[in-house]
Amino acid sequence: MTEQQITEIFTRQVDTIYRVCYAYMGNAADTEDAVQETFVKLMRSNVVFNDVEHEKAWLIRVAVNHCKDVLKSSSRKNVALDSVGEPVDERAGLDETLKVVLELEPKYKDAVYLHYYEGYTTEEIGEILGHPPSTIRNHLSEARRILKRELGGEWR
Amino acid sequence: MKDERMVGAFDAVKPDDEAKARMLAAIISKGVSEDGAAEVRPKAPEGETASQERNVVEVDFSAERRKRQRRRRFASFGAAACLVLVVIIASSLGIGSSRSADTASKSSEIAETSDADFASESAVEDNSGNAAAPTSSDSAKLYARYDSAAYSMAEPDDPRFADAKLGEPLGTAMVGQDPDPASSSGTSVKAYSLVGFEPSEAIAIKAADLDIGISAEFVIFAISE
Repeated sequence: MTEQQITEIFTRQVDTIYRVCYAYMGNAADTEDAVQETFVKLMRSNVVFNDVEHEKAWLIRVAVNHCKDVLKSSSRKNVALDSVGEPVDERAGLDETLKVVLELEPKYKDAVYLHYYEGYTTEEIGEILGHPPSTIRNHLSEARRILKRELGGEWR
Repeated sequence: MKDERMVGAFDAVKPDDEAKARMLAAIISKGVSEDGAAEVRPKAPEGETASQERNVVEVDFSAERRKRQRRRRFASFGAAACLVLVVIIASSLGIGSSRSADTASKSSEIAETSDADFASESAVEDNSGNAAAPTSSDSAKLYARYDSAAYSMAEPDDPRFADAKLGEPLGTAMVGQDPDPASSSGTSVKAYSLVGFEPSEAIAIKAADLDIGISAEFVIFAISE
């Protein structure tokens, strides 16, 4: 993949991939790392996209998997207490809805973001994430229950 | 179905121009400097057209298998040694002296059986796939294949895998947890032929046997070189 090609794809998809990664990582620094890794994987792969939607779906899936891997490995890491600085609450100024979404379990975040922000159907989300649509519907249903409890209103 | 509240919430989450430039520079720099480190080859196995909707990753599992071999040998040796020790202690204490010979013979039998089992298991692995079986266990390689459009799972009844044997363990493969063949987050898993399984069963098998989590839901077919 040439530099020009990767630049074009990056420009087209970076906002979406950034949001997907942010939903997992919850802070700008880790999100930027995850976005970088996602596009580096694209550069190293020899995937051929059928169209822009295919390209977007591939990147979303790679980003989700990468974020899950990072969270899985970082949760097992032992870090000396004195090496950890004061936590910075990056979420202080965030929108209330976004805060609640960030608190959701990872499996619900994907479904919520892709359905309510990107406008994908449960079938499409199932294809992107590699789950049966029924699983996505269950995740959305549970996420709706939480969103309703935390934020009120109707979530369809 | 878009929701205004969610759109409003996520609209604010985006990188500024400076961050975008920083990320792009890092991506290009990493992609170029580490290019070639990953074992990605745009080569299709024999018989497959070069349409290259699929990626092929050459996987060498010999190191991982040697590790397992050592573990198994150690385990069977340990079991035999424990039994022999028990027999020696029992005979020195005069317990069950009339049966100690039987026990000793059984313990050696167990050790032999373990070795035989192991040998037969190795043979199964070495003869992975169905076409040309690898000739040397150390140089044996598998192709872990998957659909490059990772979200459209390969069908278990794909005619290209018609010769694979149902559910047969094909050896150990190194696969990534995402659809990217260059993924560095490889996990050693046992690759099974999933031909003949329904998709839902295939997923269950992946979850149970591959133990690589829900994020790795792509079907793995292993084909001998």
